[in-house]
Amino acid sequence: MINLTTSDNETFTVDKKVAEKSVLIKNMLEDVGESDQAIPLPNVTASVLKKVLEWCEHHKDDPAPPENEDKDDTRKRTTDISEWDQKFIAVDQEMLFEIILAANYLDIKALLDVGCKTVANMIKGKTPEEIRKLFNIVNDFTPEEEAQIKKENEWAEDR
Amino acid sequence: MSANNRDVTQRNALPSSRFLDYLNYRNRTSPIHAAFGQSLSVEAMTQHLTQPRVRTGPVEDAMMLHDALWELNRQVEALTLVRDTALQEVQLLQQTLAAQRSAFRRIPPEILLHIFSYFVEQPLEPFAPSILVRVSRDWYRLVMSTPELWTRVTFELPSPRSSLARLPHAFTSAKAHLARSHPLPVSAYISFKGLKPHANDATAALAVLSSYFGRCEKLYVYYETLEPMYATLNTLTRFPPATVLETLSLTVGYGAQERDDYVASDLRTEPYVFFSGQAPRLKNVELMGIAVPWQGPTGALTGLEELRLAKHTKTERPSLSEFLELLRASPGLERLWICRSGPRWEDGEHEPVPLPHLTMLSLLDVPPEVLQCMLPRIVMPSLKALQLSFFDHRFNKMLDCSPILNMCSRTKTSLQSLHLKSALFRTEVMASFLSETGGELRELVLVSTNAEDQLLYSLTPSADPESWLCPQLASFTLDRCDSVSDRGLRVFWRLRKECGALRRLHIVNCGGVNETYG
Repeated sequence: MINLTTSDNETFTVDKKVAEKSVLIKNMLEDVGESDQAIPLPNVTASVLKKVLEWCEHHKDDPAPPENEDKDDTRKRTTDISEWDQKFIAVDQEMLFEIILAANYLDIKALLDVGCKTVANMIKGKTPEEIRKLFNIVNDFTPEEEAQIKKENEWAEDR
Repeated sequence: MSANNRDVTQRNALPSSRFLDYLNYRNRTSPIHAAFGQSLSVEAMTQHLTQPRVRTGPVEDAMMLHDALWELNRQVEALTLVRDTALQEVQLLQQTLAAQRSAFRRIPPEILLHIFSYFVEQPLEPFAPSILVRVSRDWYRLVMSTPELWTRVTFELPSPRSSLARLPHAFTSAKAHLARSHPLPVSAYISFKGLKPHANDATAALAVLSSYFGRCEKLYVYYETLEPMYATLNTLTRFPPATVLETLSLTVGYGAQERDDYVASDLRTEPYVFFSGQAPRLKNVELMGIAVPWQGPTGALTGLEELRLAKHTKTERPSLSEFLELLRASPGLERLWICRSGPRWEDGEHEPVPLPHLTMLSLLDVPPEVLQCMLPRIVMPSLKALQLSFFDHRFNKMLDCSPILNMCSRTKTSLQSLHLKSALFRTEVMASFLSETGGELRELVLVSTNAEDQLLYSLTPSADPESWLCPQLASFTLDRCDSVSDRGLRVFWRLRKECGALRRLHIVNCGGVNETYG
């Protein structure tokens, strides 16, 4: 079993196989060796780590992704998300981005993919204005810039 | 709502002008004041009403009281305006603060690009990068400086979004994507829907693409009629060498079933030689609803790793010898996918074709007689995944696949995955097939079959582990197999889970039962 300590000083005891879904933790364990000391995770809070570990537990027996995965092959790369993952990732927007950040920090590529696909699906079919509203993004273009960019991308105008 | 109130609401929308609004209120003159040509403050009016004064009539008193009331209401309105705008500003500040603290602000550019890379692959978002650049300056800089996001080049008519692109031959979006993706390889999609003649559009799209064809890694072409496809085939013979092309997919939406009246004599007899005969990296070819002259291996149909043939009428299909020659030209073939196509029967002796690297074979709704002439002539010792479907579209019924299963049993292959769809079979034949080929089977999917409890009993572990069928089976899906019972499934799951490697049993609409075990 492995102990993990979060940024808000909560300690989780998890199965090594589950913890090793994180490449960061796996490498740390390989470098330092197993010990009773908890591994500090200063970039992850307890509530987020709980969710991440739930995902790792469910996927602990999944085969490891191939090393030389062809990223550009659109037939293999889809935005489909498994049913379980869809339910797992049905959280509020803040938690969704926290999970993405944690997956990136902990180096859990499959979980990062699930999060990024979810956000991509959220953007789907939206206008620039709707995307701004969705993510609280300020429109910082000057009217002249906005007009110019619209002109440069006029084919995407009628949405 | 009064006109004045509407004014208040409108001004309310501009928080920074609230004091100006307030001043405007204070400086306004009441209608009664205006009528009397004077202006009185509330204090002055109160004093006027309370102090001993020259006696006035009740009408004048009522008018003055009415005026004072009007003035008070005006001040209440002004204060309400100030309060509401202040509240709005507080709310705005709270939102801004929340947005600044939001995890989204901490998403680094490389993750944003990862998200964008999924977004630009959405089939219904051909203009995805052009949407992203219009969100903010940061997104504009990120997307414009990432050629990878522009590598999907779409020529689509009618355009799903733009009225400008509806003009034939405009293809402005495709041209911009080609320029902005420089110098990366691109995937080009030509898709013209509707029964309108599109031969000229096809030629125009290919003319744009030909200048960049040295960068074309994947070419997908979809039309709903044959006419533009034949124009495309002819144009591709005049194309320059396709040095990086890996995938060529040509699809005509109206397939064999819809084209029974198609006259085969329209077919060109001379083989096409695409890309000046030079496509050294072409590994995946898909021909759906479009036939090419099959005699002799053509420039595009040799050295393949994946071949997909679909929707060819009887007269369009290659003869058995042409088909075997086609396979022989690609000894490294790894995946063969045939749907409502395949060879025509031809008498005579035919040497079997060895396909030592073939791992996936998909035969969907291929007539059993075609399978019977084809399967014994392909040697595929490495086959791991087999997909079979036996639906007869002409008579709208499922076919008995037992003879084919018997034939496959003799191929001595060891499958890891079997998908069987729209098929009837005798349980003892299926059990025998699984016994011969299922020693390493990990995934079994049965969709719309007559599988019944007897098959589940055959798959249930017995006392002698040596006689178990599919001992490594990890995932079993039964979809629309109404002859299995709920009880049979539960017993099967319990026994199989206890004794074997089965991790998941997925039941979809089998006699109304939907259940996932594991």
